Amino acid sequence: MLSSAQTPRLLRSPTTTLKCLHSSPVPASSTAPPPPSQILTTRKSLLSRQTSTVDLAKSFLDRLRRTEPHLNSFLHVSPDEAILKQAEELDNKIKNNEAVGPLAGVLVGVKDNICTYDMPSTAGSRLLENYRPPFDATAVRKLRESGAIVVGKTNLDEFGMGSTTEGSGYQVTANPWDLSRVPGGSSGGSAAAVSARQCMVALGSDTGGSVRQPASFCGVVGLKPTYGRVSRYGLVAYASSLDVIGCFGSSVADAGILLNSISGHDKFDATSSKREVPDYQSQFVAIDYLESKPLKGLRVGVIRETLENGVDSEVISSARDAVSHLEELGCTVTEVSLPSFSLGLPAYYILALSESSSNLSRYDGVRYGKQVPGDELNSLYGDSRAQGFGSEVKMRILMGTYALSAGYYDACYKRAQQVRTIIRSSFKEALDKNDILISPAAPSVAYKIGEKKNDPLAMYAGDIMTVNVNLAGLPALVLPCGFVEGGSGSLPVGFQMIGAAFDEGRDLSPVTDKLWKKFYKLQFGADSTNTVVERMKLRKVTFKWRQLYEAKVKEREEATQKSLDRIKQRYQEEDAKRKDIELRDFQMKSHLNSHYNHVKGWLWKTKSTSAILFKGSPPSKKRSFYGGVAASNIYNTKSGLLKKAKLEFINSREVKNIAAMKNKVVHRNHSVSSTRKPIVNSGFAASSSSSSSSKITKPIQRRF
Amino acid sequence: MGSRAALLLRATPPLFSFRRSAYTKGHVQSKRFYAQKSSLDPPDVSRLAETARISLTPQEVDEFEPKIRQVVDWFAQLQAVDLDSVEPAIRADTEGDDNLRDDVPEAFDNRDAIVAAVPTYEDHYIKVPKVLNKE
Repeated sequence: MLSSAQTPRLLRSPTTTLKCLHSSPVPASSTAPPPPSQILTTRKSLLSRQTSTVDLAKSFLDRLRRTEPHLNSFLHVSPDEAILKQAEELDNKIKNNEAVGPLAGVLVGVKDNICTYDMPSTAGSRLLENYRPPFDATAVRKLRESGAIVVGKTNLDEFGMGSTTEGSGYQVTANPWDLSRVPGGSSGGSAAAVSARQCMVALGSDTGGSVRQPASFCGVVGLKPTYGRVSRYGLVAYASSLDVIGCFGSSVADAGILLNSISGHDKFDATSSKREVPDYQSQFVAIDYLESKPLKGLRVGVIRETLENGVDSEVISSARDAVSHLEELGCTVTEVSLPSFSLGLPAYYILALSESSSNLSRYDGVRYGKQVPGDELNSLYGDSRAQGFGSEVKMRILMGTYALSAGYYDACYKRAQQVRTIIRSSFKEALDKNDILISPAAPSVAYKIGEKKNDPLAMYAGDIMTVNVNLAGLPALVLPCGFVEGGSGSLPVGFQMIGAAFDEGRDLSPVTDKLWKKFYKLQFGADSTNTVVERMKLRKVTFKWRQLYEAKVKEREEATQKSLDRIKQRYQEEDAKRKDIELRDFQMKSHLNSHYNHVKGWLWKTKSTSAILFKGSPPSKKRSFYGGVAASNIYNTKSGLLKKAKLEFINSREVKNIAAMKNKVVHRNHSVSSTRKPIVNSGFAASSSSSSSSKITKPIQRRF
Repeated sequence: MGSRAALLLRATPPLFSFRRSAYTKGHVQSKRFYAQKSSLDPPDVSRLAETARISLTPQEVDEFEPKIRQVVDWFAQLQAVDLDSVEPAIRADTEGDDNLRDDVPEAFDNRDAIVAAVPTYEDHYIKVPKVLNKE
């Protein structure tokens, strides 16, 4: 019932036609449009109020409750009220338009060996049953600060030791694709939860492939960051030189966004790197914008030793298909040989078991965990540990103790460390010549529950693909790449991409320069692109197209801003000028008015005269700053006032003349030259008297 | 399935050397299995259990012994590798000593939770049984 649900989103058939030119132009931002990602779509729908966090949380919790009896992927689920309360708080924040973090509304499952303050953290062991840590792990704290909601703690092999999740002290998790098979280990619970969509993303831990192998078995994306990228504070230690906290997601973008939130330096972890965390989110590109060969220039190396005997033939063919698909997308694929590859497995196990025997010595039943009372201290230790630990953990501790005992240290532990140096340098060499190395993530698909229980070496052998990466501390990404027929249905297969240290960005999104060139062309036109190319050729310099794109966008923005500023300034100046003119007009008019008033007293203070004088009232304050009408308004008003006043004056004199002519005949020139002042006086007198008389009608009331 | 996986456990033949000119891409020797003879003493499980402070029942000792011996013999293939001039690597990446913080003590703010986790806590003391000195 569950196997029908999910198809890996990253499967692109070779026949998909990738459009070269998208119909709508690339948005004018320096970051490319993001690919489909559940986190981003959730965020968008929450912020645009299409869904509410409470509804989202309810739907996930519903699905969780329905699938949990079959999967058993969670050891502890947060009570509904707590989750819904957090969801409500987020909804309120969105309603009040407050800022929300990048993981707002995202439901996360956390592997049980990562400490959470409000939930029991058992690391899958009966020894730590009901143990409540006094703090949140840094990764969990950062998740919560980004707005994520922790749904619960997922099942794992005890203390991270195992490859099947059968080693858990509590329950066995089933693979959602086939309930009779293992989900992988040790983060099997997290992988199954993401695969069955019980939560959106999940955290796991990877010491020898514990994130990548279950990702491959469950058909989800698993990301192991570089050692030191994510703080290990709060992660129950298994092997301190190899542990990292990794991410599960249903798409690469989700895994990347999650990694972005939890990465960074932490003062509580001395092995966490101080290197800046690049914004992985901005490096993603939607597949629609990719041209037909988007990965051109990417050098891919296939590790030969991982495709030899010992690996299932179907897995090999799946991996080879993936490689040929990459070739179609434009990569240059070569085969790489790492002869020290097979040495990695025994070296890894020596190191891991020795370090774990030391790390697990703290579980003595005295300060925390289950205590079995004894009559003397050693028996308290012995009994508490014997009854608390599972058999796999006990064996591993014993083997580790052996490797570290006096006399055997040089032969075992020290040699393993030397092999680690060899592996590191061989990887570094291979990664100098290639950008990414590829291998299958596991030598087989998910096997049946109980198949490997009695043969530890057979189980260890399954880690061959993944342990070398932990020894070298490199980042790796596992993507589902195909299906294999097996059992009741098809089972997913994953392939692994290994990158250089701290180069997760390359793993996550191998977008090359050519793509940025295409964006540049789309946005700014082919001419501009050609000029840039010519200029670069002329001066014999090359720039990354991404830098050029961003610089050009910035330039454009600055130019628009400048021109806007200039327009604003011009209008301000004209505003000021206009105000000056108005003031002058007003002053002139008031001067005239006062002059007339002075001459004729209260007779001039009639409504009509004041109306004529102040005909051109100052324009209304409302003007459009950027519209063309504004300019003409200014000019209309500026000269209009004067014109109007003049016209008024002339017309009133005409009117006065006509009226005067009725009384007596006056010579035109004579009237103009000699009788100016009297005309003015009498004109106004005439008009004033005429306004009250009924003989003179319309001309006086002429309005403009 | 198990037998196939076992193929992966065979390391390259003992003529492996780190010197660049002498990479041998030899095929796997069919007679050699992962049960290579170790030059170290076989593990004494009961003594190891004592060192690791785990009280094993006799059945568990019997159960674990062959498995542990198998794995330890498998480890032995590392002895055959020539590793004379190679530096042991403590960790995957060495960022140097500048990653140390100042030696300034800070009081943890949640001591109550720590105390609450202790199984036998009585009035400022963590109660443990008597310590016997084994002579």
